[in-house]
Amino acid sequence: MASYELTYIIRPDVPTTQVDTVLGKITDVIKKARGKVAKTEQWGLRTLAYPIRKHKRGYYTHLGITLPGEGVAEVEHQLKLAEDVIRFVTVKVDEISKEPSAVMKAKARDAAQAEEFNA
Amino acid sequence: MAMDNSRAKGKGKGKGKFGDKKREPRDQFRTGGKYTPKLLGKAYFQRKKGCPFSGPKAPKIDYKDVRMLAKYLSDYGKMLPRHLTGVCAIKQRELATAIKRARMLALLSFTVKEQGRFGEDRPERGDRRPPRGDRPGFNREPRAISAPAAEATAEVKE
Repeated sequence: MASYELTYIIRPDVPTTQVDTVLGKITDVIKKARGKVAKTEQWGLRTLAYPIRKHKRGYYTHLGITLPGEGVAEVEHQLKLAEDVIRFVTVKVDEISKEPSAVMKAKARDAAQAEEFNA
Repeated sequence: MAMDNSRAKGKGKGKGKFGDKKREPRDQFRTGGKYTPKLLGKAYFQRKKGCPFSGPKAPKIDYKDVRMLAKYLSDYGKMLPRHLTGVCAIKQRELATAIKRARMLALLSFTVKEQGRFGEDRPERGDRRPPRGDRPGFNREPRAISAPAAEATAEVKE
């Protein structure tokens, strides 16, 4: 069982509930492949650095998972088939960090700054 | 051995020339030597600090940390060479993969579109290109060969 980080982007023109639906589906696939989801992060709607399939924004979801090596192909195959997922990246990591990722930290920092500005 | 000999000789000569005056090594200028404040006055470059990712307090290279990665990119979004950033070779390789991963996730751009001198005043993409005749390499008269071809397509359209 190796640890992986899976990040995928969902197209922005679907209803927000779709984010959870896709997450549920992916989690099922991972469980079927005898894996575990150790960490889930919703990065929310972000502006893409460049358009992907003509979309300029997307819902990011970041997962920390443990999977047996053969399971990765299966999960990636299912992600490829999912129409709402416009991009995904799987990265092998030594261990899944329990802290919030840099993106979440940046988000919190920006939120704090905005609050300060408004106050 | 021979090399050592010649070097020793050179040193000896130097001493003979400036024998009575004690010269500190930082006052001498040799090719490949260090530029020191004394030699160049105030306009000297500060020495590179060394690899920013080595050492006990170094930040981890993470493809999700856009802020950190952006420091090692040019204004156009290209990776900066090591000799400008001081990153060591091993870490530069790691950094390169991290940047490429961030690009795949659209956290970083592959390129940044060229900005006009006046930014937003720049015309939309469709209007930006000058007509063909004004562009270098396109200012020739149309060749005779292309004429019948154009006619043929016109006929098809009709």
